Amino acid sequence: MNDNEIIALYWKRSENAIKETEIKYGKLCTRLANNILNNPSDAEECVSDSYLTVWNLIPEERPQNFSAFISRIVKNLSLKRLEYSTAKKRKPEFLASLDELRDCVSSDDSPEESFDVSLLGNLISVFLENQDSLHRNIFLRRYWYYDSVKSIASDFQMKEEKVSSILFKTRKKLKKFLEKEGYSI
Amino acid sequence: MNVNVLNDAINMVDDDLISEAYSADYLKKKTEYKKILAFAAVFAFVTVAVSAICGKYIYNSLGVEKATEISTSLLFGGADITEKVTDENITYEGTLLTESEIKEYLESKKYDIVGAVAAEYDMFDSVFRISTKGYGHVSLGGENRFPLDVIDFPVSVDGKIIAVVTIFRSGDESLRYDISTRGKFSKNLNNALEENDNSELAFFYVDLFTEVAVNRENKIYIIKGKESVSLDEGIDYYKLFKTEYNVFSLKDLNDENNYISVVPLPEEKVTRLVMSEAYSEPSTQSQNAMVMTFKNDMLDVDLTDILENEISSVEWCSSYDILAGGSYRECTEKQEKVVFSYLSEFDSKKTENYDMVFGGTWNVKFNFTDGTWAILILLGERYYIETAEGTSRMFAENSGNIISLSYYLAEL
Repeated sequence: MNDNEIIALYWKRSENAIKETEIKYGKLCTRLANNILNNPSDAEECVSDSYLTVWNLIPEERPQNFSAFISRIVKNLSLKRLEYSTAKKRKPEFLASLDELRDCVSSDDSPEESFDVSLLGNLISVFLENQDSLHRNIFLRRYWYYDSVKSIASDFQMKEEKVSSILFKTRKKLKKFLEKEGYSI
Repeated sequence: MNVNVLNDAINMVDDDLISEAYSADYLKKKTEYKKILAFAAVFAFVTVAVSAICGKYIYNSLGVEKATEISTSLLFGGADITEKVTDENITYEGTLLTESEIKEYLESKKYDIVGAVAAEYDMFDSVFRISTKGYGHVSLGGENRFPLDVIDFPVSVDGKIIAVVTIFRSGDESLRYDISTRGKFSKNLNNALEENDNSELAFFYVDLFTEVAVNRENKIYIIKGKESVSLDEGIDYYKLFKTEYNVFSLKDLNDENNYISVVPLPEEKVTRLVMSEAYSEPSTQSQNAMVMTFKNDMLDVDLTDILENEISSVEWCSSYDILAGGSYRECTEKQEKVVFSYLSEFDSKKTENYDMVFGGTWNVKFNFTDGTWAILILLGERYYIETAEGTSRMFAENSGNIISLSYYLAEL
């Protein structure tokens, strides 16, 4: 079933909508939630909650890009749950990727600064659009989906060292780009 | 900068990038499909990998049946699902938009169309060309559908397409239009056309939202994507998906017989809705919102005016229905009563500027005994009214009955 047909089911308030969403996006959602929570049962619950959230948001919303729409929901719910869990002790991929991103910033302590996150997000989109597609996708797999280096290496059929090297270079480039755009990092 | 800020910002990157990231690994599986091809050929069945859209083309060499499986996973990401579609027949739907009908309609709407595009890009000093030759799309998914009454017409400046006007026949048979300014994706369309000079591209959709073009050499361009891939599997995809109505070339764009030149009216004369993307609080869901500002010259009409008129029938539909080629459905007498019971409880107040969650609409259409009509466009907690003469200002509805009515319509 294609995305617009699934959305149509949500609009009709058919319970098959959730079933079809699970068939099509269940694996992606579970993987993303587990990357953040590192706990299969928590991840499963988050994914179920995400389906319910989608159910409540549609028909109020008509997502143009359903996979990104549901991924955002899963990610946000998982991050909220992480705040209440002890997952930090388990070092989920989310926290590991956050550690790596510290390369791009000089300090965690800059409360006096306020950033327009939306604008910064747009800038990062521009930066990524100008990168080689392989580098861009590896970067997003690591820092948006929080996939492990091992799993990225497997999906892209390359060695883990190569993935780490691409991530390292892209982070450096991002830092340079943001500095050039006037962000004091 | 704090690392959490950076993380939040990465969270805000474009949806298209997010989708692409989780689908890109399928490109790598191209080689796997090719191995299948070599194996299957031995058995008189030819199984071919369609690397461009990450699918499998299964061709029965006896010629009795052939089917294409096109995976949307490359385009949408993360899914192990393929959309099986037949390529034997294209089902044509709707009444073909005629050349004279199109020219007359575009002529009557040219200032509205160009005004909206000029406002988007702040290009009020430019000379716009609205192409009168357009192209439709074969829509793949379940079956190959071709709506003949939904056609795209490029709008260009200095030989570059900057927007596309979609003209479609609405449920009441009248023509309507929708403008897509496309932003950065205009570049993809221009590049695809320029790369093929005067040679035509054939356009189709994989799913409702993913526009794809293929050239005579079977190079596939994903218009709202990053990839363009050349196919070398010996299957003529261009021939497969080309029809009389879905081809367009650079030559068509620049042919002086094929466009209307328009200089936009000064900005203050433009009646329009200005829509721009905004974002609500970062790191929360539902980040897409729209800020809409209603400009001048709006109709001075409100719900009371509608309800005081003599109504012959009430119809309803969702904007999604319209997009999908559907039409308004007439309410039964009982349903009409329910609709009116909600409307009579509306607590409406005109509003100028507002934020609105991005979403579809529920439309309620009132047909009056004198042959005229008005449509109430329900947008969450707000609504506006459309008539043949134009659009009213936006109203906020404060009683909650608009939500109840929307849900009631969704259940019908």
